[in-house]
Amino acid sequence: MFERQKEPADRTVASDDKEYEHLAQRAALLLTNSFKVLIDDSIKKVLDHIFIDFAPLRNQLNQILNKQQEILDQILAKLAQLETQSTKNQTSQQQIVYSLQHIEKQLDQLIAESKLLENASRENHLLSQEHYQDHIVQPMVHSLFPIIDFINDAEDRSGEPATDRKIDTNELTGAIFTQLQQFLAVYQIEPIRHRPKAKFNPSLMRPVKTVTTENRQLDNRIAKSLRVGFWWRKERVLRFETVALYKFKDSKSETVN
Amino acid sequence: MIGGIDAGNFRLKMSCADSTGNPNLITNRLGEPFIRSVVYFAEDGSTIVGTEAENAALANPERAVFDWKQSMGTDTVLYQDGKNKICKAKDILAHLFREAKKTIEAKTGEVCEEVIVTDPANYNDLQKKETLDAASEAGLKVLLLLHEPTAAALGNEFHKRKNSRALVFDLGGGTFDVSIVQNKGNLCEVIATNGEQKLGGKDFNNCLSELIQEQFEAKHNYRPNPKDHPVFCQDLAQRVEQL
Repeated sequence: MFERQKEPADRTVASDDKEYEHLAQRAALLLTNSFKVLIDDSIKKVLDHIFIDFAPLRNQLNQILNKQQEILDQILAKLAQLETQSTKNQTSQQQIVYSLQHIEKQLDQLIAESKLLENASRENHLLSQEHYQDHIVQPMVHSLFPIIDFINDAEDRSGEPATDRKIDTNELTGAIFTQLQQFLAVYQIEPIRHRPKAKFNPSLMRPVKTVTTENRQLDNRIAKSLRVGFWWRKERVLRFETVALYKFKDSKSETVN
Repeated sequence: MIGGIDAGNFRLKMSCADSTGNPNLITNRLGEPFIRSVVYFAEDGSTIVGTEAENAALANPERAVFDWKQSMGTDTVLYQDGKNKICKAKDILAHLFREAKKTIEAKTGEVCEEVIVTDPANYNDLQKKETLDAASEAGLKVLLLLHEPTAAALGNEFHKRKNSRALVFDLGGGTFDVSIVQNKGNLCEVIATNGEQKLGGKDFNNCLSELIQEQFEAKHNYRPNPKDHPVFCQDLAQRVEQL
């Protein structure tokens, strides 16, 4: 294969060897490269073959991978939604918890206030009961005692001979009337009683009878007070005074004695 | 504050809602839970309304107006003074409304400019208009003009029952009305009404007084009469009314 060139005689065996060695190396290199090329080609062919044969599989694989990716994306999206929802729920729950805590506090406060009110009410009730007993019932009852005494005295003396009686009926009724007036005065209840010829006042009086008069000036004036009225604190009429009224030339009624 | 007014021929009643929303009757300055529906025209030109007007009317009945309700929506003159001042039923109602406004305000301590007013179920448009005009004259704005039987039904929570009918007996002081009301949604509707215009509580009172006097006469062989025993007869009338 390799042609050996003629060389001068003075060249040494060593240089020949080197040249052979070099040639051998080159040959080896060539061989190696050739084999490499051959192998590469073969591999390439094999790979091409594989690539062609496995292309559908690869496509399927890609599709599967894509689908998996889609599913994965969907799952991730769902998870993200769930996470958001969960966060919202947590916030709502937290708000509900705060609200409940607030309500609980208010309820506690209400219960405390209610207890205070209940106690105050109980105290007030006791106080009002006491007040009612001390300032209303007791004075009322005390005011009635003298009236009962008068009546008892009168009853006791009724058994005695008439000449020995010290209290007559007029005196007794007068005394009872005075006592009753005093009793009512304690409660600021005053009698309404007007003298004859006083002006008729419908706010205080109720006429139940008319009396004819020929005196025009007496028209609509009181002929007689028939029954005493009462008013409270001079504001609220508890009972109107019942009166007979003069009516000018009223032929229907009678005259007052 | 919103008031409620039921202007009857015999008595006018007023109410207002308390803090819980429940209606409470309002009492007048005499402590009575009504205003007697009487208007008295005094000689000095002033007007008296209520029980005091009734007292004054006992002395001078010609200056007072008692029965006004049946004349609503008519031209009937109920009072005319020397100066040709004419008063019809609408004017009488205006006086009653004025007194009601005054009483509500005095009792509650609040200004009352708006009211719910009841009227008979058989009132026509003119009678309703006169009622509204009378309220307006008294300085009251009527928020709702409610039929009397409807008000009675609502007052008894009838509107809470579904698809029901009820018979409402309205026995007033001077009149007696019977109505059938029916639920429609949350409202009550009067579907029929009729009444007796000359039958009321005062007729019952008169009957009771008569009965008592008869029994008294049977026992004591004597019948007290208003001429000889005016105070007794008045007492009897008042006590019978309180029964």
